[in-house]
Amino acid sequence: MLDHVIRFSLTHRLLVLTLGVIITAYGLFTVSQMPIDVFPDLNRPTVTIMTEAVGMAPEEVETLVTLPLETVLNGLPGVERVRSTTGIGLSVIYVEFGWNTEIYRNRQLVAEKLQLAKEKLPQGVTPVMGPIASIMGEIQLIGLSSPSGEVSALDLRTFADWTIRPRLLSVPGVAQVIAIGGGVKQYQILLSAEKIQKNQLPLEEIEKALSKISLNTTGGYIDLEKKEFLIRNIGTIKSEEDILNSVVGLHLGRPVFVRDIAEVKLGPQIKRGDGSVNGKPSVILSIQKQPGSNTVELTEKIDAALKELEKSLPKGAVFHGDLFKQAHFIEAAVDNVKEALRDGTVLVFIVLFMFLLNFRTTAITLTAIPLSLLVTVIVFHFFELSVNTMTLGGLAVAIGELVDDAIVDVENVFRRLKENKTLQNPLSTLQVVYNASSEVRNSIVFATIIVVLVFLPLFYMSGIEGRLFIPLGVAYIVSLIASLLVSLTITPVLCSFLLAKDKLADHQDGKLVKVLKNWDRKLLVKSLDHPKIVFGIAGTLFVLSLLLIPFMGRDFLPKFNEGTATVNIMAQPGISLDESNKLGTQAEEILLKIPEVKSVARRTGRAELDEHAEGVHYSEIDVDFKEGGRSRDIVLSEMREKLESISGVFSNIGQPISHRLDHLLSGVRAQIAIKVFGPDLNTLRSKASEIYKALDGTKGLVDLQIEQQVLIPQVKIQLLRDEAGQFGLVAGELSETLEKALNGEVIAQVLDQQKTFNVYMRFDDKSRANLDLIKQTILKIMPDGRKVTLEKVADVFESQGPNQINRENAQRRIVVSANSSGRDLDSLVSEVQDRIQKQVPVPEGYFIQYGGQFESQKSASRLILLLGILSLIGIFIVLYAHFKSSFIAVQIMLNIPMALIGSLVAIYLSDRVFSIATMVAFITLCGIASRNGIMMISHYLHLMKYEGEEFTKEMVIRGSLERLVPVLMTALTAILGLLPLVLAKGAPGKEILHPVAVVIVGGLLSSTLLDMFVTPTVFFRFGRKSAESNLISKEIELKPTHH
Amino acid sequence: MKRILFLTVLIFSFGIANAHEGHDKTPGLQSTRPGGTIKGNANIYLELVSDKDGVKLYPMNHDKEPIPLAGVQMEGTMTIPRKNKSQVLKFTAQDDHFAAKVDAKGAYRYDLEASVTHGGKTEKIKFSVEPQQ
Repeated sequence: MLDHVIRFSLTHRLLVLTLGVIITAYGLFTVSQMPIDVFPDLNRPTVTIMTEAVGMAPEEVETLVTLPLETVLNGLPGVERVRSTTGIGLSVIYVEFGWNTEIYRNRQLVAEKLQLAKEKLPQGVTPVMGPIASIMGEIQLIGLSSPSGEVSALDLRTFADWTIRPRLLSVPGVAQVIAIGGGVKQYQILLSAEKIQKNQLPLEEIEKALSKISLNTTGGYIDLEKKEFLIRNIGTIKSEEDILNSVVGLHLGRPVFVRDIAEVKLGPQIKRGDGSVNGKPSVILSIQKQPGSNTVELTEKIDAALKELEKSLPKGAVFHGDLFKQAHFIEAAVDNVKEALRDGTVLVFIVLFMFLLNFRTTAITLTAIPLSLLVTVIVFHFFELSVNTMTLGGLAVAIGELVDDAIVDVENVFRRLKENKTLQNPLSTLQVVYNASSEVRNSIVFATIIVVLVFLPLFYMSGIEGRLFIPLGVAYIVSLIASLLVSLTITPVLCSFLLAKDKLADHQDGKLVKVLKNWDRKLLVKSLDHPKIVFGIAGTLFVLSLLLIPFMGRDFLPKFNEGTATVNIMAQPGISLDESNKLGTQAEEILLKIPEVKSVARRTGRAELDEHAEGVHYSEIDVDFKEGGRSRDIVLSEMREKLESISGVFSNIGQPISHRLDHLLSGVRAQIAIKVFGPDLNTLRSKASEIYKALDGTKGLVDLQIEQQVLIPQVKIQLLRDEAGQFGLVAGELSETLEKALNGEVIAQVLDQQKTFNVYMRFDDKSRANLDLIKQTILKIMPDGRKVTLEKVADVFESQGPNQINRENAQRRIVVSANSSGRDLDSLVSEVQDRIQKQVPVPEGYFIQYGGQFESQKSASRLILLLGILSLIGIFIVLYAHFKSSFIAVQIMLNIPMALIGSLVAIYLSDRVFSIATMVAFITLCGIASRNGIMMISHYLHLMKYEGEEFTKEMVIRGSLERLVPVLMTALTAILGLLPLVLAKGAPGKEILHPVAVVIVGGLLSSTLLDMFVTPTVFFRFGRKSAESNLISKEIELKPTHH
Repeated sequence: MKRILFLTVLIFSFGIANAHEGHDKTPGLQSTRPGGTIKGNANIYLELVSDKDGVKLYPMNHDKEPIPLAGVQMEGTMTIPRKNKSQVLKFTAQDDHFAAKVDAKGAYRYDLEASVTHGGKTEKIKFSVEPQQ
C-alpha cells in the first residue's frame, strides 16, 4: 500500500504539490484563528455551591445548611467527592465530578437537587451555584483608590459595583467580577437600646414598623376622561431625612419617630473582607473568565473597556489596571515556546546543510517541518484543542524528528541517483526516486510506528497529569504521522523535481562527513576486534548512571515561573478585620521596600460574592515585579526573610496558578495528608494533636502542621425556656428578635437613580458594645409595665467555638499535613502509618485516611511505569513483526538502556529531580532511541539481502558507515531542535518542557554515540544466526490468482 | 539479552521508586496544641479540653510548652449557673494533663474554677464549660 502511495505521488506530482500548497494556506489561516492559553483545559468538572447565612456560627451553618445540602448532593451520578468548608455565616460546598463528565449536565443535576434541598434550609438562606469558572479563571486584578482621600471608600465601592462591574460583565467571555474593599454603601438605622427603653417600645414593634418604612404599591387602574391611568402609591424613602421622620410606634399617646430612638447614617455593610493597593485602602476587582475564552483577547477587550471607564472616574480616583494580568504570563510563555520552535528550526537547518552541503536537499528536507506543523494545527482545529505551552511543547519536542523521515528518504534518493548515473543503462529519475523511496519506506514507517506506539499508552493517564500531557502527546504524534505522510508523498515529488539535474548528482561527501566517516571506520575496526571491552564500557556506564538515582529528588510537576507571586498572610483565627488589616498593611509596606517589587494588591478576608471561605485572619497579597533586577530566587528569599519579622502571623509565598493547581489536586497542599474523620470537633482536634505528637521528630518529616481549625471567641446567649415561658415569650421568636437587634436586618431599599441601596437596622455599637448592655435589652413590656430584659430570660456568657468546619464525603475531618525532606516517601509514609497505629488510639466512629500529593504522585508514577512496560512490550512486538527475530528486536531495544545513561547524567547535571515530565520524557525516548537501531540493523540486512554482502566484518563496517550520516543527522537535528528548551531552565512556559528536553537530549547523545560502536559490535558478535535466518525467511505473499 | 533488558527495566523502576522527595512549605496551616480553650495569667497557662464526662487540663508555660506535672498541683470546683450549687472536683495527673470527672446533671454549661499551684504560687483560673458542645 505504501508503495502505491509513493507511486501515486510520483505519477500525480502536480496534484500532490497543489495539495501541499492548499494545506499550507489552510493551516496558516487556521493558526491565526486558534485560541491561546497557558495550559490545556485542566478543569476538573466541579460545581461550587455557596450559601450565605449572615452572622451564623460555623456549627449552626454546618447543621442547618451544609449538612442538608451535602445529604442531597452525595450520590449524584458522576460525583467523586463532596468537600465543604463551613465558616462564619458561609457554607461552601465543592461537588467534584469525574474528569470525563459534562459540566452543564453536572450543573443541571446539582440545580435539581438544590431545588429539593431548599425546603430544608432556614428561611431566607438560598444556596447559589458559583459561576463556571476555570482553574486559571482569575485573569486580571484591577484596583481603584483615591490617594488624596477626595473620594470616600463608600463612593469608590459604589462606582466599582454600579459602574465598573456591569460594564465588565457585559464584555463577552467575562464570567464574574468580584469586588472587595471600600464598603458597600447602605443606610443604617442604629437603634439605641437606652432610648428604646426610655420610650418603652418593644423591639418586635419597632421591627414591624421599620419593615414597612419604604414601600411602593399599586392602586390599580382608573379611567379618567376616556383615558386609563395607572395608580401608584409611592412610599419609598429617598434620603436619610425620610427615614428619620418615619414613625415607629406610640409612647403615652405620642408618636415615636426613628430620630427619637436611633441614629441614621450612611455606612458600609458588615465587612468580612477588605482591599488595599500599595499599602493604601482600595477597592480591588477580580475578573474571572468563562472557560474556553481566549485570555489574551479578553484582556485586550477588558483594557479597552477600562480605558473608556477611566474618563468617567470620580475626580480624585485612580485606576490600577495592571495589578495582575494572566495574559502577561501567557504571552511570555507562548512567545518563549514559539521562540524555542523557531530556534530549533534554524538549528535543524544548519545541521542539515552542514551534512548535505546542498541547498536543494536541505530545502526538500526542511519542507517537512512547516507542512507537518500545519497539518497538526488543522487536526487541533478539528479536535477543538487550543494553542498552549503543552501543545506547542509537543511540536517543539518533535521538531528535530519531523525531518527524520525526510532525511532518510532524501539521503537514499540522493545516493541512488548518484549510483544510477554510473550505470550503463541509467533508469529514469522518477524510477530511481520511486525505487529509493520504496527501499527505505519500511524502516521509516516502522520507526515512526514505534515512536507513536510508545506514546499511545500515555493517553491512559488520568487526572491532571493526563490533562497536561495528552495534548502534548496529540501534538507530538500527529506531527510525526504528518511528517511520515510528507516523506512518502511530497518529499519524493520534490526529489524528482529538484535532484534530477546531473550536476547535483555529481555531489560528493562534504569534508565534515569524510572526517566523521574516517573516525567511525577506525572506531569500528577496533570495536569489532575487542567486543569485551566495548560491552564492558557500555555496561559500566549504565551501572554508574543508575548509581546517580539515589541523589535525585522527586516532584509531582516542575515548578512554574509565573512572573508574579502570591503571598499568603495568616494571623491567628479570631482576630478582628481591623487588626488583620493592620498586619496586612505592615506586610505590604515591607514588600514595597524591596526594589524589585512593582506593586502589591492585598485582599483580606472574603469578598461578598467570593467562593473562598476565608476568614478575616487570612490575607492574600498579589505581588508584581519590575523588569530586571536580582534573580527571582534571591528576591523571594528576601521577601520570606523580611515577612518573618511580623510577629503573630504565618506567611507563605506561592504563585497564582500553582496555588490553584495544588488546590485542584487534593484540596490539601502537602505531600502527606493524614485526614482524621469523625463526628466530634473536640475529639478531632485532640486526635490531630496526638498525631502531631506521635510524628514530631520523625526523620525526614518536615513542615508538620495541623489544619487551622481552632477555637475563636464567641458570645453565647442561651435562651432559658422556663424563664421565657413565664413572660409568654416563645423561644424561637425571641431568637429571631435578638438576631435582628444584634446582627441586624435589611428592611428596605433606597432608590438613587438606577442604583438601590439597602436600609439596614440593628442596635448601635453602644448598645451592643459589652455584655452588660446586651443583657439590659428590653424584649417585652408586660401589661403591668414590667420590662422583660434579656438577662431575665437568657444566660449571656463568653464562650468559644470553631473558626471553621471542614467536611469531606459527608464526614467532619481535620488534616495533619507534612512534607518529606532527604528521605524516600514510601518508607516515610510507612513509618508515619506505623507510629500513628501504635501511638494514637482511634475511638469508635472515627477513622484515619492517608492522602495528599504523595498519593497522586505515587499513583501517577506507578501508572507511568506500567505504561512504560507496556510500551516496551509494544516496541518488541512491532520489531519482532518486522524482523521476525527476537534477537534483532531485543538488540534494537538495547538502545534504550544506552539512552538512559545520557538521560540520567543529564538530569543529574540539571535539576536533579524526577517529575511526571521526566517520566513522560523517558517513555518518549524509548521510541526515539529505538529508531537509530532500526536504521542501522535494517541496513545490514538490506546489504546482505539485496547487495550480495556476506555476514562479515567489512559488511558491518560498510553498513555502519553508510548509515552514519542519516543516524547522526537525525540525532543531531533532534538534539539541536530541543536545545533551546534545554537552555531555558525555569523560563515561563518552558517549565514542564525543559525537563522533557533534558531527558531526550541526554538520552539521544549517549544512545547515538554508543550506537556507533556498540550496536555493530553486538550485531557482529551475536547476530549472525538471526541475520542469516532473516534472509531465508520470506513473508508469505498472497497474490490474486485466476481459476 | 532479554534478561538484561528485563533487569534494566526492573533496576530502573526500583531506582525511581526510591528517589528522594523534594519538598516545599505548605501554606495555610499552623500547628496547634490539643485544640482546647487556653486561659492563663502571668504564672501559668491552662488548656481545657472537655467532653460530656469530664475535663482535662493541660498546664503550659508562656511559650505554650507543656510543664511537667510533678511541679503542679490542681484543685477545682464546678458551679452550674443560676443553681448556685458548687461541687469540688478531684483531679488526677495523667501523662501531660490533669483529668477530672464531672457530672453536669444535664446542664448546658457550668463554670469551672481551677486552682493551680505552680512555683509556690496558687492561681485561680475560670472556664465556662459546655459539656454537650
